[in-house]
Amino acid sequence: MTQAFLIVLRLMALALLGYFAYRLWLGTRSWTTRAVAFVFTGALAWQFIAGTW
Amino acid sequence: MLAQLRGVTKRYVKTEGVRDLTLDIEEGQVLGVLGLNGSGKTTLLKLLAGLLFPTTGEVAVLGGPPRKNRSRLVFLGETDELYSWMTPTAGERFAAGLYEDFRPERYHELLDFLEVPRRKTKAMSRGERGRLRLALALSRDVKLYLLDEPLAGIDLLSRERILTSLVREWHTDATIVLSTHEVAEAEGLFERVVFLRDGRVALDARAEGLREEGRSVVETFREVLA
Amino acid sequence: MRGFKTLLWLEYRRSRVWAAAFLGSLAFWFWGLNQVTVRDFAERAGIRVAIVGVAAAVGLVVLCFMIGRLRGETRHGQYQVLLLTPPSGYVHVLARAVFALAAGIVYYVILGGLLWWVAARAGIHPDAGSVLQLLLAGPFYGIGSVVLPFLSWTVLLMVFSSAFRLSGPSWIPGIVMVAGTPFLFRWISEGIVNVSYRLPAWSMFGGFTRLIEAAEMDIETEVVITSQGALVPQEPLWIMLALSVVMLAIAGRIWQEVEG
Repeated sequence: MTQAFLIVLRLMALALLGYFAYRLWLGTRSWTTRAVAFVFTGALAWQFIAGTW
Repeated sequence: MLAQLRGVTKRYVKTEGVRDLTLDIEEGQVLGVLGLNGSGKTTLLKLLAGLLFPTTGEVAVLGGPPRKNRSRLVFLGETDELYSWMTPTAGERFAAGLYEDFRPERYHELLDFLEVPRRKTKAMSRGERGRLRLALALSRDVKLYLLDEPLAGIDLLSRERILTSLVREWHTDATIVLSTHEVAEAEGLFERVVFLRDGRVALDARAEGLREEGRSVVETFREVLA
Repeated sequence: MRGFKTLLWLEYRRSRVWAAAFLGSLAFWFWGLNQVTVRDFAERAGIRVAIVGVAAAVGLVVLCFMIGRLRGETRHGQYQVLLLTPPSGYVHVLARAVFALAAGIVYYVILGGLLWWVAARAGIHPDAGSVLQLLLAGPFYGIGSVVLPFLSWTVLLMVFSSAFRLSGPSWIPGIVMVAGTPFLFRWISEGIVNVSYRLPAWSMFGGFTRLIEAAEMDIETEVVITSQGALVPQEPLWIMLALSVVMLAIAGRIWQEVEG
């Protein structure tokens, strides 16, 4: 039961992160800024998907 | 050609500042950019200054991307500001240290002519701050001056002083692009006027041409934009 | 690098009140140290060392706030003025970092001096080498491995968030970067731990460990014995310094590329 709940939570967090990533990508023309955004959203996504909590 | 815009559109999140704008600016012109609020005047000037980048189209100023040529142009924005602790002397230190083309003698002359008080900007009125910023801008010896609403929110006497100094300071080989609401006051200044409406050029005319047709810039403003 | 001197002057004028208050707060911490009147000298020294530790942490937060006021400049229009000045973004970022770093160096060296005072009050009199470690080696190690990275991260955060000012709420980039940093940092520190102690470690505070032992045995001793102290790895310092330089360089590059 808790497992399912955690999975749903992770999916919601990933969806929110996806939205943030989309806004960040469109919000600037600067490639360096996009790269930084990618690094941080990537770290968060990795944590949501493969993290131990 | 001093500056060129080719098919430039600037899209913000939900709106477009300018749409499909094409404009050529020649050397030595005094160009007035006129329009209502939200018509794209500030966007146009910021695109020319390199503060904004076009969503589509190209902007070339002094032969290249405006940001690369930022040391060769002056942009006086409506909303940019000096630090509240800055005095005219500190402003001189700032400008002289960063810009090779800053002329201190001209700056002192302008400070006197515009009657800028020797105080911190936080102790100045809005008009006095505007005059100080203008003195800093006009003390640089460049080919292109971009002035966004230099008269906005400034009292009548200050406006007169500013316009007079603009006329005095203009050199035949420098280009001034000036946007303003105060069409009537600035009328005598412009050689060419571009009227913007909803981000597009509604009319691009020489002031002399208009006068030959017996129309003043103010009348044309009302006709085109009403 | 034309204009660096002017930008440094600008940073000084802009932040001198903050810097003065920051350095002046040391008087407050010194007063606090004097308020500790516990009888047992070892306990007294322990509490005082903890207070100095708090002063170090608070100082870091204050420095980050000082350098982070860059964000305020985007709202009040000075940022737009600076974007159009001839010096590159790298020079702008460097000027801010150098000023904050200079203030930090003064602060942490004086904190090292306060630790020396605490030790002296506890009857511990370190030799010249140990004093140098207190005043220079320790603070510089801490500055290089903790303070400068935090400052660089703050500058990057501010510049990165400001890049999105025109396209909507800039709390999105702020949240993403603040939330993502702890995880990135965890991976980085795991990496640092793996490579630590490969280069020869530095011996620091050798004199103190022997002296504290002597003090704990309740011997008031004026004799200073220097020997092997804590072995501090070099790698974290170099890695964090490199990371700081990278973060500042990225911030400078973003500055070059953003709209105002």
